[in-house]
Amino acid sequence: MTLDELRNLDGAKLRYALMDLAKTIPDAIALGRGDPDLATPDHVVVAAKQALAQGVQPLQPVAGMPALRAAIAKRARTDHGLDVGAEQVLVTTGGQEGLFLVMSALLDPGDEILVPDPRYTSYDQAIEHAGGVSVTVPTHPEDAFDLRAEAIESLITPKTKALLLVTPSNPTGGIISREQAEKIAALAKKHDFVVISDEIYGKFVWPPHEHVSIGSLPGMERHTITLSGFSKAWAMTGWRVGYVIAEQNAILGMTAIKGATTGPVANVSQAAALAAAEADDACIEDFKVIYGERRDLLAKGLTDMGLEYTDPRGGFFFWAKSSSTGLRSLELSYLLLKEARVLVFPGTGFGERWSDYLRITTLQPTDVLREAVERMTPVVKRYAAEAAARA
Amino acid sequence: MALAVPLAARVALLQGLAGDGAAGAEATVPASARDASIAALDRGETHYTDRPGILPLRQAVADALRTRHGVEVDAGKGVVITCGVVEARFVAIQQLVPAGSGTVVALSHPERVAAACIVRDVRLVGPDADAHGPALVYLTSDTPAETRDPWLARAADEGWAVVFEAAEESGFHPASAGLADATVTVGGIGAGQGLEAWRVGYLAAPAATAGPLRDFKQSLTLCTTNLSQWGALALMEEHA
Ligand SMILES: Cc1ncc(COP(=O)(O)O)c(C=O)c1O
Repeated sequence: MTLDELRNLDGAKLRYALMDLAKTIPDAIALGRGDPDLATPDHVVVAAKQALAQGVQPLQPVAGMPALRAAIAKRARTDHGLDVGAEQVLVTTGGQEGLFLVMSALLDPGDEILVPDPRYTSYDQAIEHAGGVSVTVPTHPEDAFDLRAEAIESLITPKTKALLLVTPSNPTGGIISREQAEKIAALAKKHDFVVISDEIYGKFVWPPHEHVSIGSLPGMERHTITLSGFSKAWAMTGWRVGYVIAEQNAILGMTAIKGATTGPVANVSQAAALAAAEADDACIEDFKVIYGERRDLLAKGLTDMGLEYTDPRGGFFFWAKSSSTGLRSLELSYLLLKEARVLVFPGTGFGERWSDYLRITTLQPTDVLREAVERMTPVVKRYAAEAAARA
Repeated sequence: MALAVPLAARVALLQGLAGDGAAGAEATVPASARDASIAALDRGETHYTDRPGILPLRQAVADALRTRHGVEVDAGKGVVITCGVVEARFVAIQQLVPAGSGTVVALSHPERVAAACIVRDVRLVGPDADAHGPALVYLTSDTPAETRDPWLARAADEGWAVVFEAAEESGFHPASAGLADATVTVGGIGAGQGLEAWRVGYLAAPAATAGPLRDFKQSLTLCTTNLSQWGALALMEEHA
C-alpha cells in the first residue's frame, strides 16, 4: 500500500492497513494496536487448562456463565462502587461486541449520541449501524483531554439519547476527572440521557489521578451503561471476554440481540475470566509497575525527539504531536514505518481532525520499546531539522 | 432505561425464539481439539489473532470446501473465521439484505436465521411464499433438491444473494448451479463433534464479497477466540 492509498483511509480501515503494511517489514516494532504484549497471568491460564481437561463443555446461556456474571457484579460493587446484581451483567465477545449491542439496543434512527473527539472509532461504526448520529465533543490538550461538561451542555438537543465516555481514553490517555463526572452526571439526569462509560482501561490510572466510574455517582444507576472487559486489564485480548452492566431491562434487550449476533461466549474463555475476576489484583499491580516503567521510558524518548505530548493519566497510549517535524502524522507514521521500522498510528485513525497527532503504545517489552525509541529518534530529528531549516 | 423503540418491539419477538435453548447441552470434547488448545496456551496464544482468523484455519476451511464441495475460495481473502456459525449467519444477513425492505427466503431451518432477520428487520418467509424486491435465499445441505433447484434458478435470474449453510460432509453446493459468485457459504466447525462451546465457524465467499463481510465481523467482535481457533484447526486436520 502506498502513501497515496493510505491517504484515502481513516478510522479503523487506516489502522488495519498500516498493520498489514507493517507485517511486510520483517523486524518492524509494532507500537500500533492496543494489544498488551504481556502474557495472560498464570492462574488464569491454569484455570483454562483445568476447564479444558474436564472433557465435557456445556454450552453456556447467551447472557453468560452464571458464576461469571455474579463475579463481575461483585467486582463492580467492590472495585467501582456500582450497586448492581448479576442479572445486570451481560458477558460479551470482548468489549467490542458489547459496544455494538449497546448501540443497537439504545439508539433509534436519528438519535444523537455525543462522542468524544478523538475517540476509538469502532464506536462510529456501531452508531452508524444502529442509525444513530454521532455528535463530536472536542477534547483539548490544555486540560489533558478531560471531557468538559460545558462543551457537552452546549451540544444537547431534544434528540440527544446518550453520551459516550471512554476513561481512560483511547487514544489520548486522558481520564474523566471527578469534577467533570459530577457535572456530566447532573446533565444526564436533567436532560435524561444515558452515559455509556467504557472503562476497559480503568485498571490503569496513574497516581495521583483516580478512576471514576460515573455509574457510582448518586442517581446515576438509571442513566449509566458501563462497558468493560478482560482484554486489557488481564492481558486477555485473544480470549474475547467483555461485559456490559446496565439496568436489567436493557440487559434483557441486549441478550436477545446477542442470541442473534454470536450466541454465548466461548466456554473456556468464560472459565478463564472467572478465575481472573475471582482472584485478587496482584497480577494487575505487577502489570502496572511494568507499564509505568515503559511510560517513563517513552515519555523521555518523545521529549528527546522533540515530539510534544500530554502526560497520559491512564491507559497504554501516548498522544503526541507531529508538528515539530513539519509533517502530517500520516506522512510521519509512514516514514517511521519505512525508515525506522516502527509502527505508530496517525491521529486520523481516531477522528478526522487529528492529522497532527500520533498514537504510540507502550505495549512492547521494555528493551524492545527502547530500541523503537532509538530507531525513531534520528528519523524524527532529521525531519525536525529540515523543517526548522525551511522555516 | 428506554430501549430503542423499534428494538423494544422486536425484543419480545426475539425472546419468543428458542434463543437460550442450547444452554446446558453437554458434549465430550475431542482430544485433538483439547490438546491443541492447551498447546496453543503453552505457546502464548492469548492475543488477538488476525481479524479474519488464523491463516492455517482459513486454509483448512478452503481445503475442506474444495474437497467436500468442489468450491474454490481464497484462504487469504475469501475466508473469515467467525464466533460460531451464529456470527457467520448474522454477518451475512446484516450485510446482504437491506434493512426494512428485504426478504430472506429460508428453504429449510428458518429457525436458524430467525433472530438475525428480526434484528435486521427483514421479512423471513418459507419456500412456499412469494418473494419480491431485494431478497436473499438461505439454504442448507439438507434442503431437498426439489425445493432448492427452482429457487436457485430464480436467485440466478433476479441476482439475489445466496447463503448456503454447509454441513461438515461432502455434498451439494450452489456453485454447481452456477452461483459460485453469488453464494456466501457459512458453517460451524466441530459443532456436531463436541466443539459447540468453542464457538468457531466461518464464512467463505469470492474475495470481493468477503471483504465487507470481514470488515463488519471485525467491527462486531474484532476476531474469534484464539485458543478456540487452534482447537478447531486440530479437529479439521484430524478429519481431513
Ligand atoms: C476503548 C475501547 N473499548 C473497547 C475495546 C474492545 O476491546 P475487546 O473487544 O478486546 O474487549 C477497545 C479495544 O481496543 C478499546 O480501545
